Amino acid sequence: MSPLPENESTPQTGGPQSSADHTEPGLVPTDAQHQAPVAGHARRGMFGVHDHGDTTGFGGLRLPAYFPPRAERPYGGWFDDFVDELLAAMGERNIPADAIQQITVDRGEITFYLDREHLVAVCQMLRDDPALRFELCSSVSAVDYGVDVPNRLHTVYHLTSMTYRRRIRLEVAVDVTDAHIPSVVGVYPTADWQERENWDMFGIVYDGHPALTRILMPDDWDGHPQRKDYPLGGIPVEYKGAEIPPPDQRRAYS
Amino acid sequence: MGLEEKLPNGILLASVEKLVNWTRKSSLWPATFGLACCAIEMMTTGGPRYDLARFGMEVFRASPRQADLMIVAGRVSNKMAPVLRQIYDQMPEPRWVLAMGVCASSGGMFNNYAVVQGVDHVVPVDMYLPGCPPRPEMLMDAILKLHAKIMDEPLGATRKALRAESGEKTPMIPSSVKYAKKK
Amino acid sequence: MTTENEIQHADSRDTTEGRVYTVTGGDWDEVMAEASKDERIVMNLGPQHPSTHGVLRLVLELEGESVTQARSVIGYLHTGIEKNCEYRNWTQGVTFVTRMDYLAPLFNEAGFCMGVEKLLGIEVPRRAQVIRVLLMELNRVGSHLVALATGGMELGALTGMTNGFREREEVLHLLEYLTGLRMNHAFIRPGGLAQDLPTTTTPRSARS
Repeated sequence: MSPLPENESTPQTGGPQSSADHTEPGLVPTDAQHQAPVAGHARRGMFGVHDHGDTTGFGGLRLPAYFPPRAERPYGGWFDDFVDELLAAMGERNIPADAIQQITVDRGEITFYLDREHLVAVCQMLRDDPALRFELCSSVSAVDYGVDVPNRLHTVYHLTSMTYRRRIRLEVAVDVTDAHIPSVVGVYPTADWQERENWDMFGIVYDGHPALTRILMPDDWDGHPQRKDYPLGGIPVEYKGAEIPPPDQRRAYS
Repeated sequence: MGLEEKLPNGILLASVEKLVNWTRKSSLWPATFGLACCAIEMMTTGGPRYDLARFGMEVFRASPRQADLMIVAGRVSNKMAPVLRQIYDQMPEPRWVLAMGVCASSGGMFNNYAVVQGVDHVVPVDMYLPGCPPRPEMLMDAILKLHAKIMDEPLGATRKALRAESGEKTPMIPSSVKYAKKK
Repeated sequence: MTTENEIQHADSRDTTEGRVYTVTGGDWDEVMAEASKDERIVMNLGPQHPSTHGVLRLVLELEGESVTQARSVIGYLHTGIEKNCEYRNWTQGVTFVTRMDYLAPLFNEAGFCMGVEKLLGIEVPRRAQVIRVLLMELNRVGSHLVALATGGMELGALTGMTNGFREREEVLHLLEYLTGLRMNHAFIRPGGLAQDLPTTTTPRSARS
């Protein structure tokens, strides 16, 4: 069963149908730390339109590449004490402190970018340590940051502590070529179906998952739909005599 | 007019074809294929305010083997399409399909990889009903138009040929005619 | 009836019809125990249900009437909303998001809009916040009425279904008066609402 429209053979990486916008050379800072765990990509225009005939109205938009800033102490609010407790707990369990690649504090929320080797240990510690107590894994989702971004596939874990009434976010970044992340099902059983969804939509393989199969798409589907190089898959619609292409291919109408 | 005036009271003359079609349309049992938002409006249409029971259609048969009309209400995803076809195949003749809502008629606002762009890719459709979701009155209007279409069905090949030649059709009440009195 | 099959505690008599056994006491338990082994049925409650729950496929293992194991298969309503939203504005995204949970569309919109407002750093005016809450509570009432109505229908109380939907009509009528649509109203937008409420809201709500 071919998932692609008839007029295309394979999805092109960053091709005209993808929602990945092309990096424009002037907008990436030359001294950018490419070993930073995350990079959004520079953008020109919106919705994947970079050639002529832009009908989106955003043709003049120029956005530089986005690197979430490393937060400096003091973080503010409860974050400082929290990070101290976190590092102390990690020391107790012999998890190296550089398992946390980066801490970002933005808009009142704290995000930890982790190494994938220590992910399960860190989650176990977050759940069990009496000072941390993140019993609830609210959500395990994934992000694809764009086609030519290093380490583009991220898995995002939103953890909630009901005893201390706070929320944190963990992010693990992997590259498309080696998209393996250890599964946290042993620590948070609720992540079972959510990791299946991430496998289905993004192609991230969770090692140790009991049954990693397709959950949203039919079982024999090819490809991972939410990746940025997967086309939207719409068909042109005939309406009042004109044929309107799907939204990712709409250009000037004259 | 002719023969009917001379008969005593209480005798009705009709053609077998019209009689058969009338029985088919008056108790057209729907098989629900309620998928998404349109299913809620379909349930509302079967509810007390917009009553489908006045057309004999309040029995939403669970089993397709006992149903005449399949109302495909909601967006049909690619995973659901073979199930839709299987349910359609399980319905015995005569059967009709009403595609309720824009998602069933043409894919609607979801012009993407996951939704079948119109259930007429999967089953033959007799009535398309746009709307997102269509109001219960719109659904009833579609059902009444489908009733008129059913009344038109010729019975037998000769009548089919005659009907096609003469172009005779049951008059449909247009949706612009309002029966309720203005306040 | 051969002599090997002599059942204990059973008198037997030869009659013209053959041998007749009179069974007393604990024999019936033995008989039933023999008969009721391996009653396990695996049943597929397929994606099309008699009760319009939407689409969920359940593979049930039944012992008589009790369910011992239930496995669910989902994905029959996957619509690709997220991917569609990548090609839309913030405001256009509301119309997609509203159709995720079709029984309580305003809640989806509110969640989406609050996320957008946090990202953009917008503060919503207080009046808009209050009206959002009012509309969401109305929607909650409607959604719970559907739950009660369909729950009653499952149990066989069909009048519960008709009553529930009759009450829901009041809610939907009021929402139509306020937002313009009965369902899937794209009314809560990033930054506030699409429009202010009409001035006749209070008497109209008091009437329902």
